[in-house]
Amino acid sequence: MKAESSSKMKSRTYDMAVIGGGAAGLAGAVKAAELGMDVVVLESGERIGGIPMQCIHPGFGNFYYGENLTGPEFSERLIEKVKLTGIKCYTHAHVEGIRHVSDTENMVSVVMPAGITQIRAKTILYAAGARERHAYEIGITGDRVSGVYTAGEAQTLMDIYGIMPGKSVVIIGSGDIGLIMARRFALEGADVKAVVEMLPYPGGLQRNVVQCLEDFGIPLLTSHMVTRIVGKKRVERVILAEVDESFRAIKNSEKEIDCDTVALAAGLVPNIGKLREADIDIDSSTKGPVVNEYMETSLPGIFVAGNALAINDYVDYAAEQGEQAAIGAHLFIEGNMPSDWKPIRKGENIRLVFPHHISGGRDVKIYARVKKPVRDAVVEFPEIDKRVRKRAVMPGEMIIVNLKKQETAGIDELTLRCADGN
Amino acid sequence: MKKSVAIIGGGIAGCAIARVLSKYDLDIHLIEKEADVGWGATKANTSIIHPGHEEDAAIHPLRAKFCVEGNRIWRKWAEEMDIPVSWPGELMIALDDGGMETLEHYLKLGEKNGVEGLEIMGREEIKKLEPNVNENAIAALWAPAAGLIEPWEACIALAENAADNGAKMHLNTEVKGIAVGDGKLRGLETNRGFMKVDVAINAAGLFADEISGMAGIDDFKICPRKGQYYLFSDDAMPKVKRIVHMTPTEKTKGVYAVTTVEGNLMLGPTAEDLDFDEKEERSTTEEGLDYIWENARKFLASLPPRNKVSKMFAGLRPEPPDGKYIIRAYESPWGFVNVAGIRSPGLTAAPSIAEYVAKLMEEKLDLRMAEKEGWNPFRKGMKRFSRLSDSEKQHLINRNPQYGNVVCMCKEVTEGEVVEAIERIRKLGAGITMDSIKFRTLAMFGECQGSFCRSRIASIISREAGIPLWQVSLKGDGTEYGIGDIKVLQRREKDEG
Amino acid sequence: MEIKKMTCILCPLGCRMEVSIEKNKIIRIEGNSCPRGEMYARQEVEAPSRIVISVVKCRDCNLPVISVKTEKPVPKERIREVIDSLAEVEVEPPVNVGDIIVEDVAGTGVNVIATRSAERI
Repeated sequence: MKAESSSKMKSRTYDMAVIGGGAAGLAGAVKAAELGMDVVVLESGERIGGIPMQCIHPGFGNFYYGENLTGPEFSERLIEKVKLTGIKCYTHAHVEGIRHVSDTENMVSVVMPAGITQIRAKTILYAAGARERHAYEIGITGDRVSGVYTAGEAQTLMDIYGIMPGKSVVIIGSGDIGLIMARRFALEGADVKAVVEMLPYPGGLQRNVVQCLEDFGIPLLTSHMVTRIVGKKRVERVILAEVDESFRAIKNSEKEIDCDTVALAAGLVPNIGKLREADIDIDSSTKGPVVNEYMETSLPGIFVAGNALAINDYVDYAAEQGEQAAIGAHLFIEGNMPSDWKPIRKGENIRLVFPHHISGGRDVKIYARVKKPVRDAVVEFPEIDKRVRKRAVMPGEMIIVNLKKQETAGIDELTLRCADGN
Repeated sequence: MKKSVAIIGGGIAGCAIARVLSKYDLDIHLIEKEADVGWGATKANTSIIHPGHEEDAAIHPLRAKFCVEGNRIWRKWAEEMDIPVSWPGELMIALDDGGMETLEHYLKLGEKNGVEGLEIMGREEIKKLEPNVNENAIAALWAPAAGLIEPWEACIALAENAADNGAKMHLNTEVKGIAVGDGKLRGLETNRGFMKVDVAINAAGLFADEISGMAGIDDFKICPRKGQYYLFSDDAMPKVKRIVHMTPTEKTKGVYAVTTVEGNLMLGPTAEDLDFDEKEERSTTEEGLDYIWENARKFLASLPPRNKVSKMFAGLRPEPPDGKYIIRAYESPWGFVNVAGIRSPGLTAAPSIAEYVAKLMEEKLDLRMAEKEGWNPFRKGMKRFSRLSDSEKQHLINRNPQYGNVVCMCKEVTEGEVVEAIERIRKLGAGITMDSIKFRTLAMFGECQGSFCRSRIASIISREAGIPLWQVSLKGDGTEYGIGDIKVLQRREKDEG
Repeated sequence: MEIKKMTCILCPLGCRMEVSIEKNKIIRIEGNSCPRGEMYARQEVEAPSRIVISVVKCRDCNLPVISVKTEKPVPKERIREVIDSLAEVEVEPPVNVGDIIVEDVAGTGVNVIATRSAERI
């Protein structure tokens, strides 16, 4: 971008500024453009497309496109649409701050190679994704050596730069990312020594346990944790221990695994730094903002979608949320945003649920996670006698409940619970 | 001919000596075995500039003198060399009557050492100075002269300033032997060949006993004492306004709570004596970290949640016998000088030690210490984009668009800063590694600990240094980012069958 | 008789199944709780196959590598051969999503296609 257009940007008021050019941001931008809104996308990285660009395995798009795509294919479709709709995208655009000037005006301060600028926008879609939890955060002690990567970083090295991080690998965390990275390493010829999981069961989908671990004979050590990383310059081995029910290391259960690489897939945290500064309400269970069914935060006109909202199982959900946010932003600008909200509360065995408020004015999709696995589960909203039976629910797998408009008529609040169906 | 002086060890003591000696008409060589300066004890300590009330001049006259003087000199040096410092003052907290006596003891020591502004205060006053102290505190010794510094930045600044004034830097250079003939120092055997020098100053930190032994002086051992720390993320609350710690024990000044110059809460250290052969043992342990946590809770009203820890780390401090600094120029071999066992308050003491060493050279070694012309006391620090005003930022980007490309989002570090750091590293002859970038720019120091930006920064290093991305190292040889190109490795494996 | 243990992947229930095989024929499937489980077990015993994903090197591209996948699942025991033959491949720009990168990879009858586009630098 040239300096002259930078000054033009200052005087212009966008309908929506999208922060983050990943799946949620691009899907939201495309939807907004289709609704006739004037949109700008601000991406901090070199390219738009987001994290799916480095997730080269299939499993994307089953819900959003009705097709099983790889991550790059999923993103490339969105990028194609962005190009077709002529949405302005700035890359290397770092958002320094967000200022909610009034309920119809937000200022986004941006640093770009073309200069620093203030972008004025009636609404904001914040879709900055998530960050990975690192070794220090989960309390792994030991030596500060090379060969320790977050799973995403290892993925960037392998699938964006074509670099092999190491040849004998221990993976920490058996969520889908951990399982998929185990396979990714094994496919390219590394010896994956183990996937280590604190919980007594794998965190990821059964499909991935079978196709990522069993196919390659990779051991899964449940109820274990890596307590130390040992090495002089590079990782030489990890020390593991069995854990008890409260995830404390059991004495004298230590063992060692020799390896030169540790890949950490210990979970994601919504990346909401800039929103936190803007003082929005945060849900301590999702660690993301509190939102209504249009993904609008406690600050009117500021929307959030994708992993910045809550950690999603599928990129499809992120894209859907982006679209909902765009629809909401459109309503907001037209002055048609509902003003009456019914809260959705967490009941028995529900760890998190969002959106946190619904209008009751239309069908909505509710995303939730349970605390504990249940077989033959009943997921229900007792207030309206809505029940969904599930063969099994796992904390690692989001529960989706579609609420119909008519089901919530005349109700002030709803509670989601998940009980044993027997 | 100019006398040539080698300083062995590029820690805070060695770099301070190099800077001071660069004033004189001498041929200065700083020799460091790591890829960069400040990677030993300097990098991992509590970063406090002590006022000097904790040093007993009757037992440790040198330590007391250097500490009080060092505190004063740092104020000037920080200004001259653009080193980030802050002067929050320090509260030594007493939790019981025994602690009260300790406060009285240190008040007296401090007054004897000439430390200004010391004052014992009660709970009410403590709360005014530091809201995050808990109800256990019955009194405190307030030392307003205490400050904080970025130790690695200080070390880099000293090295850069010394280099600007003609000192030659030899990084990745390890002394393997010391040549002595006719009772005189002849030179140093290094992994990069022989260096003929007239004077060698041993500031080798943990390894000072080994270096000294090479010169035939083996009457002391340096013991590694480990200190572990917690460092919290930028948004971890509550922080502390002052430097806060409990009354010290025999062995250690105890667990401190500080808010670093960078604005992060830091807790530590432990004080764990290791074996003489454990000089690379910088691992953190659950026990050590728990010890810090428990001790911090004794005097802090509240601590941030543990998941706000952005990193745990450990450093090793060089502990001499009886805690006594060994600073001495020897008769034999003539030309050999020990600056060994520079344990706490070494960071504070370094400037004063350096000036003392200059005096030793003149008085004991009869070196003609003629000040050279045009010595420049000033050094400009790295540009820190995030600290600039909008107009300064714009100006910088206009000149160089790389300053408009933010590569580390947590700390808002730009490509321009990374490139500037690389230029400075080159100028110093240091290794272009991720750690040397990290300590100069603070990239990868933030909440994500580099999971987003490490590959971006490695790419910039790869481009600027002209090496493949996988060969970019964390901290020198053996710590490369990857093991090779995936497909090239596979082809090779196939060929090998 | 051989007994093969497997876990069904078709729903979160993850039924543990035992498949009894005699003379290469399935004679009994136990442990599944629905007919889909049986279907899955048959597939996994008779012709297990997988989509293979990897990257291939790019010459003169804006990217050092691009991602690829097999257009269809390939027999499970051929995965290694597929990866090995991709080690030799170097593509030249431009590459579009869906472009065939290797035809009939390792004699499996399946094509490897690009899942990411790349441009000339």
